[in-house]
Amino acid sequence: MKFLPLLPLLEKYPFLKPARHIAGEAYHKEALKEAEKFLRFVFLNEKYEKSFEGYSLLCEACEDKSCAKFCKSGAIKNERIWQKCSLCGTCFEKCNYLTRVEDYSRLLARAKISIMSYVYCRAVVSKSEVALRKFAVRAAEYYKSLMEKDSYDKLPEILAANFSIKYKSGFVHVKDYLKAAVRLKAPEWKLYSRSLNGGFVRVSRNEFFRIVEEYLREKLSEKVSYEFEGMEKLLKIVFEFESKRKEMDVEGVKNAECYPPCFKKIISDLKAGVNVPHSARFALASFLLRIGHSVDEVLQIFSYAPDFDEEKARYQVEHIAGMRGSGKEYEVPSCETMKTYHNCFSDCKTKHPMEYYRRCIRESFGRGKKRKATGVKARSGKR
Amino acid sequence: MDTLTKEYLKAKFLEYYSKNDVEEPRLLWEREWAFVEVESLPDFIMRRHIAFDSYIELKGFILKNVPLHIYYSSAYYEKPDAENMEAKGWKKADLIFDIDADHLPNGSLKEAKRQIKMLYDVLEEDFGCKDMEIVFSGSRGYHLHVHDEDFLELSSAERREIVDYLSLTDFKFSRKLPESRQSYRIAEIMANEIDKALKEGKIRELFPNISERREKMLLAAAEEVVESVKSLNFDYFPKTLEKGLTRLFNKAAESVRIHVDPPVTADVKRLIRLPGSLHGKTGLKVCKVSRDEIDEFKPTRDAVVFEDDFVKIRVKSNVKLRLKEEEFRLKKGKAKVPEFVAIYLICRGVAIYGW
Ligand code: SF4
Ligand code: SF4
Ligand code: SF4
Repeated sequence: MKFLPLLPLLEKYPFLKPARHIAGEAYHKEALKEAEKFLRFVFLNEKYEKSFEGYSLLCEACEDKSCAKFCKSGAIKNERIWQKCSLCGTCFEKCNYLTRVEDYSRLLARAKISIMSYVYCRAVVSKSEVALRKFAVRAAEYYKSLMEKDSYDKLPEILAANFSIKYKSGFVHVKDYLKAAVRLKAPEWKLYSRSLNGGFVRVSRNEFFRIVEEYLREKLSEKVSYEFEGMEKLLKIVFEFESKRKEMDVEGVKNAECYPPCFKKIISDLKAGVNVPHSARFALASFLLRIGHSVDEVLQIFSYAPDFDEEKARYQVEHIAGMRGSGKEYEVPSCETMKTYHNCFSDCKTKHPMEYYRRCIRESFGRGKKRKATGVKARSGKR
Repeated sequence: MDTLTKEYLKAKFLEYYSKNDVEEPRLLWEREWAFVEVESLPDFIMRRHIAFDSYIELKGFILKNVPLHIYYSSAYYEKPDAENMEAKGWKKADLIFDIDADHLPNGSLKEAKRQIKMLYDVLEEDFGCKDMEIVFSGSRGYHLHVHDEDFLELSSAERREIVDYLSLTDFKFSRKLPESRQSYRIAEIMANEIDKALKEGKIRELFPNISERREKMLLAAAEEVVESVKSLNFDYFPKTLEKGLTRLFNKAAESVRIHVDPPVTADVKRLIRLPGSLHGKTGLKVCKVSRDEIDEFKPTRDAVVFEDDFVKIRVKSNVKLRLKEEEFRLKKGKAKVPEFVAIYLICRGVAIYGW
């Protein structure tokens, strides 16, 4: 029966590659409801609990294995050789294993609902950058928590096959390890804290799931475009989250409208491919970091520069952020300093770009205006 | 540099390239090429964004232009001759390490050799690299190129993590060292030091503030002490001896540490010298050296390619050098020296051609 062995897995982990073969609108209403619950969990911190039946891959008990001839990678012998499997799904599609029809339909329905609700969620969050990022983080975390509670012994192998991670019983290839580890800042993820032998890093089961979480987060950060009936209702949850977020962070808010003219000009120069002097880049980086941008976001802006060298730029920005060297965060230069280096393009009647920015933010909120900064008048400089 | 000297240098480089093949990097047509020409001296002007379809084309270019320096990209591109990085279409890049004698604490080529061997072995044992090449840079160091497919798609940050592993960045002593090969390497050296000190009755040199009681106890249990340190257990050494342990650890770590140049490895579109070409600042050959031969390899002997015929040069200042197992001391002014010395000095910029 088509996909029978995989159905319980796909219900629990709808991001697995073969899910696309059984996606479909058949249980639209149920899937919609499920998606709503999940989005409320992600964005509004509501509770989300789902119970799953225990499972193990039927293939282990299957004597038939007639599906083996369809596998192009030769991954099915007496057992499945997970290191060769890419979880393409072909063998499962040709599955000959039989079970009672009622059971099959029930498993199929549950899997379909879960997969579609997953698709709906991804389509909805793809409409907003902020929501997408938040979703990717939270959902990846959620699936990892499911993995941690999952006692099926072949689960790591299945996930490794799905994400093309080289993995063999407790050892992951260093190249795949690094991909996740460089994002995990904790010292225990430093490569030199690990037993590394012949290209393989020893990891515990839960550590492996932590690695998978990073792969998953990356996958979930990709946009999905898909329109469906009832989308608006789900979008409302995302909007609710966005507006709450805006209210919440008056201080940490990042409002590009309120950047002082000097930094607006430097950014637009960068975007236009103009070669911006070092002092201006330094000032801009310190400013962006100060108002709460991450190093990656700052690099994003610098990447427009014609001579952008990620390695060098990252080093410098991290230095400015205080992550390197002296460990002290650099101050945003004052207007006076900005003028000395010819990086000032206006006369803002202020002493410090930060002052300009804070005032603008305060006033734009004070007047209940969402976007437009009206509080501070600036004669904008010549371009 | 005057015209005559340039002409001479060019003629000699041409002679070399007519008689010798240069190395053909894998997928040569996916690489960006860059050259510095003799004419540009004394400036160092690089012509970049050049691509070749075949070795013959590359060789033709070299013979026609006779460059002073030849580089190719560690990266493989869709369009290697495109002018900007985005249009080039980065596919992957060899993993490159650079050990430069001038960046080493004791600054010698001998130490650079010890480090490159250590690097090769760690990459092989720990990282499972199999397809590696060691290259003498033609000047003050060695490069190591890793070609194993598994490592070619690593990002810059991932490569930098490998650098941290090798150079033990921020790896500090603690009583709970991680159970990693790097820890065991360091602990092994610490254990040997302690072993030696115990045998020679010099444990007080390592731990000046050790109590007599503790000293006796360590001596009595010497073997277990050494073994436990090897297995990362420092329980025989109480808190009061922490300073001594840390000192010992730092010293041991220093000899395990491999000083690879971080930006070279982290750069996924580095230009590197072509093996088989000449280094324009020494006239020495950039040459591949296998792991088995490196002990025997002597750059000042084995990377010299020019002849012994005498050549007249003018030396700009007193120099002393050793090439082809011979020592040369030259005073400022006219000199008659073997060709390989003349070219070395001209490339270094301390001599000009002719009287
Ligand atoms: S036929 Fe193939 S897919 Fe189906 S249970 Fe057997 S081994 Fe698994
Ligand atoms: S899922 Fe794995 S075993 Fe099945 S056909 Fe695809 S590669 Fe082969
Ligand atoms: S006055 Fe200050 S804030 Fe305004 S543009 Fe000049 S430097 Fe920037």
